[in-house]
Amino acid sequence: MSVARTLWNQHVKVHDGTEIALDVMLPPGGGPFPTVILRTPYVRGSYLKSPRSWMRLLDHGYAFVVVDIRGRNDSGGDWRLWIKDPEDGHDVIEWVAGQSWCSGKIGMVGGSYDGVTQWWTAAGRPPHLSCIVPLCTGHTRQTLSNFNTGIPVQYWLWLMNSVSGKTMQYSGAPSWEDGMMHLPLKTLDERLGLSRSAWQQYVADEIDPSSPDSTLSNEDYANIDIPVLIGVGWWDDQETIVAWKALQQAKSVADCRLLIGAWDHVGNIAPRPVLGGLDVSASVMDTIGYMEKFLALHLKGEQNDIAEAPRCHIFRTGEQCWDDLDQWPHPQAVDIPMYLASGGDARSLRGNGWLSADSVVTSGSDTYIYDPNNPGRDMSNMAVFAWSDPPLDCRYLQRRQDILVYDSEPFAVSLMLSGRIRLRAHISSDRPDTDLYVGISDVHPDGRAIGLFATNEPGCGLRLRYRNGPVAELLKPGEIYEVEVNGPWVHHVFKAGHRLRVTVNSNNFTLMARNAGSGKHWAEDDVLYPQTNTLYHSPDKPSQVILPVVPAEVH
Amino acid sequence: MQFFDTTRIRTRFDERLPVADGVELSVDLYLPPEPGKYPVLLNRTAADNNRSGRAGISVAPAERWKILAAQGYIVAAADVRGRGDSGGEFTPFKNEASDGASTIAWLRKLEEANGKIGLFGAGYAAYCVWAAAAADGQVDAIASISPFGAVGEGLLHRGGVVRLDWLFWMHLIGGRTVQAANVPPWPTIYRHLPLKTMDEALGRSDIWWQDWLAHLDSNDPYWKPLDLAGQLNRLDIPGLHITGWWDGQIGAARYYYEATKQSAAPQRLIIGPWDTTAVRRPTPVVGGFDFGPRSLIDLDEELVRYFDEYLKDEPPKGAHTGSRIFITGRNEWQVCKGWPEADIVYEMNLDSSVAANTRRGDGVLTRTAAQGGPDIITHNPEMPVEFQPRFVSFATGANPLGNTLDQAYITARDEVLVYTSSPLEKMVTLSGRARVTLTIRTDASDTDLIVLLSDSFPLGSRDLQLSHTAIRLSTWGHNKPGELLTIELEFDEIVHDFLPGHQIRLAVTPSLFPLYARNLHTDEYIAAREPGIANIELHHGPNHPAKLVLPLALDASQ
Repeated sequence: MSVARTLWNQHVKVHDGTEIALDVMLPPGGGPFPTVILRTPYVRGSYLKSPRSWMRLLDHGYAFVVVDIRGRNDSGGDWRLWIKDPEDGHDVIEWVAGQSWCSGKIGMVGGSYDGVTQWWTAAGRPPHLSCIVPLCTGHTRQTLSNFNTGIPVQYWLWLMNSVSGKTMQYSGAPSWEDGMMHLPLKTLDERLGLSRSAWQQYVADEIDPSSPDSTLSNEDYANIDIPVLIGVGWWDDQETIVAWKALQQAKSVADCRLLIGAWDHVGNIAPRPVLGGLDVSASVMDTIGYMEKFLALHLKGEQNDIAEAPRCHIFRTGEQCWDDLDQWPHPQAVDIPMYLASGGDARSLRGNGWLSADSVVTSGSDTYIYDPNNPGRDMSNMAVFAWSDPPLDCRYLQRRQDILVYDSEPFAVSLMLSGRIRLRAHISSDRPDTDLYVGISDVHPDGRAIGLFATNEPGCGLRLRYRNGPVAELLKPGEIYEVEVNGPWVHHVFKAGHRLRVTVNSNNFTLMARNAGSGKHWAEDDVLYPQTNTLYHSPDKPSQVILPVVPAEVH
Repeated sequence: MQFFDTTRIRTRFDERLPVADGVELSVDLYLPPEPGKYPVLLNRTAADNNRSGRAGISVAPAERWKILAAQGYIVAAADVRGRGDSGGEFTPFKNEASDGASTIAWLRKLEEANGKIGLFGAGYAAYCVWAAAAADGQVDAIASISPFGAVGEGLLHRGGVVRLDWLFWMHLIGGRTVQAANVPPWPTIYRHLPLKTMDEALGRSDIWWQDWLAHLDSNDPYWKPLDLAGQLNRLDIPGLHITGWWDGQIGAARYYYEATKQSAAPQRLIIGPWDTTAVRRPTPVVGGFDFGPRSLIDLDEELVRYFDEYLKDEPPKGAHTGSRIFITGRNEWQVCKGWPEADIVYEMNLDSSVAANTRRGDGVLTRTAAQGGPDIITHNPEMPVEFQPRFVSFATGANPLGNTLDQAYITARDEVLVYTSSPLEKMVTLSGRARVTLTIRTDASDTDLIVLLSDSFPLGSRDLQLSHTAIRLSTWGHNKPGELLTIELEFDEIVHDFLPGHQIRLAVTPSLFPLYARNLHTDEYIAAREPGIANIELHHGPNHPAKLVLPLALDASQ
């Protein structure tokens, strides 16, 4: 980590007179230097404390600039969670470009919220921004709130705690275990002592990461004319992949890249050889080094192997190897349905549900009772870091009686999927509202059921009152509806002898709020009603999982 | 300390506390599970009230606050003005008395407060404790760990020699949150000249370096917020005072102890074998010397039991009573009445025959009258004596060789005069403040002397630094190039056994960099840009006093 000179707490006056604080790290040499900027709500100095992370860019001759976004830490003004700030981004980039130590070539890096701030900066189109590297972040515009699920994310209070006030707050301070069971949710913040967090804005539907206030428009994406490297892990925020899809309309699409490894939310910076219950050592790579090559190509004009490589560097889970593809999902993938079927009771992994390639083998339904007063709990540890579970053996959830389980036969030859899995189901409930989640796991010959996706990530569910769009339409008890629910994005091979398991349930707590089954506003409920839900699988009311299958002869 | 169930405590984060000038301060409250009436414990910090700061105890501060709440306290964890989530602008020391008093007044009005209030903190937060206590006048108990204070005793400078670790501290608390400690290229920054613009080499204009250097005089009104003794000695506030033999703030700890000792309230003292890091979280090994598992005490437990005694009127429990100091050498705790004092004094003369330079020279500490001629140091500040080998940063753990107390690398330098006693035949226990008298002549208009007292282990195998003191000659009053000058310096407290076979050692160095700024041997100390060379003579002999005065304890165990 070769820092030759430092400039601390520099103040940049932006369009409305607000002063934005930043630190500048300069490498040895006379300069001017190509410059990498990170804009964050997470206190800019935190990125200077890890010599093995972005500070490594100094060793490659970049100036590194860390910026507090408006209202956070040393920056002036007021901050609102998830409200985009393209003007601030623009003005900071152009100020840096005017400094004597900056070569005028500027890139941005960062993950999660620090990735979102890159998208927002790109939307502001500062002339000196040459490329961005947004990692593990979505914030794409969706029909429904909360990543197109319509289901409130109770976990957001965890995030809101950590960024309340001006600095980072300690996640272990609130009494989560007891507090997260509190009702009604409109006073959850008060229960945990977090009345000054952004929770009330969220309750009032004033903020949402999928809203126009937070996301780029199609026009914004179409106008992007700089190279973008998107990175994410399979057990992380898969909304990132939705952003990749949106980016395909950009002017610079030919220079845009996608990197997906077998990582969790922090793993894109420091990949680990074992994740949860899975050996993913083949996915360990020097990600910062990879991103530096991308930066070198666009900030230094350095012709390196990135320039010639296919656009997408994707880890193929299941077979644990890397694929280099010009497009992702795999261009040859085709949607093929498998049908949910059972002997009448598909509850739990001991039930008799199965998956069939044929639509007409059974006629029947499966019924389960979801009691939100006794919800299954994911493994997230709120006191530490709750965002993204590793690939765990999901049987701890699948043994419950409030989940339907459908297994394929063991595959005779391996099956490769590339793209997004969806559930199209016929469903009824005895309550005016309920939630539906679809889970996919790879059942190993020894019985382990490894989730293809973090069990506690948003994006794989639907609040049924929003089945037809953002205007709530309550269910008529007993009436059968056909609904489509998004499952995970995957690039996975089920090896011969493995089974594909589909699970359907109504709970993803504590990440997502429990559905009270009342039809009321989610924040008002103080009584939770058990929901008796039925999934149908007959020739006229089929339920199917739609799989993006890559034909065997291709892969 | 035992485990506590902290899952049901109540929390109120970021309560906004308005103070008189309209600024809002941020306070986190941790309350016991059930509503009731409880004593309040207040910690005000510049380091971050729940996350990154170390409050002197335990892991993340918030974990500590939860444990205290589970034991029946309301904990108020406050960010000081301008730091963390509090409004306003931070200037060290400036507002802590009034903001602290306002915070105490606000806490007293909490519905669940029972009227008893205790204050605690470490480092700057301990200064906040004393300032608030003096301003409020009625708190019920105080726990102070390694407190800031006492300008000239180590705060900013010692004997006029500026301490550069304050620039490091200012960097850490630049801006609103704790800064990256090891990122600035410190070895380069510390070589910047002139001294008064060293903040520019660091690249910070949001700190108080130039202000502080403009007020080097300890009696300057600028430091009035630190002048608390006149108030504290009239207040009857029980205090728990914790410091360590190598704690850079031992002088300030003495200052607060001496002030409060004059009141009627009982004062409890704990001095361990600790440096600035270990005094916050004791470790058996400090500076490369192992004081053994018996040196460890549970400071968390000490604090809680102390507050139980004074805020809950619970009887003292077990070992958690009375003052204790750790005697190095025998490496045991000893109950004591208070700050260490000598029973007798013992004088030794400095002498040499050929030259006392380096520990291989022939400098001696002797009971006989000195005979030899002057010893001579030639000092070029371009090549100062280093206070740590391979210095990287003042941050804990930053230096590849650790922050060692073995000063072998210091006494290896020809610029350092070394005087060593013969091996002792029986154990000698130092207790109190040693003094040294030196007769100096220098051809420079100014020079620094730093004097180190150490225990040289048998055969010179190790050289344990016990204490040091420093003087910039121009602050002594009458330094004129070429004239003899007799100075007398005092060390900090030491309670240490020199075991049989060990040797008492005194080392005199013209620099100890970058703990101390380099003296460039010109008459414009902080503004000097061009290093000069100094020749320094240390005289000993019949008319030139050069002696070490040791306070000794007549220990019954001997």
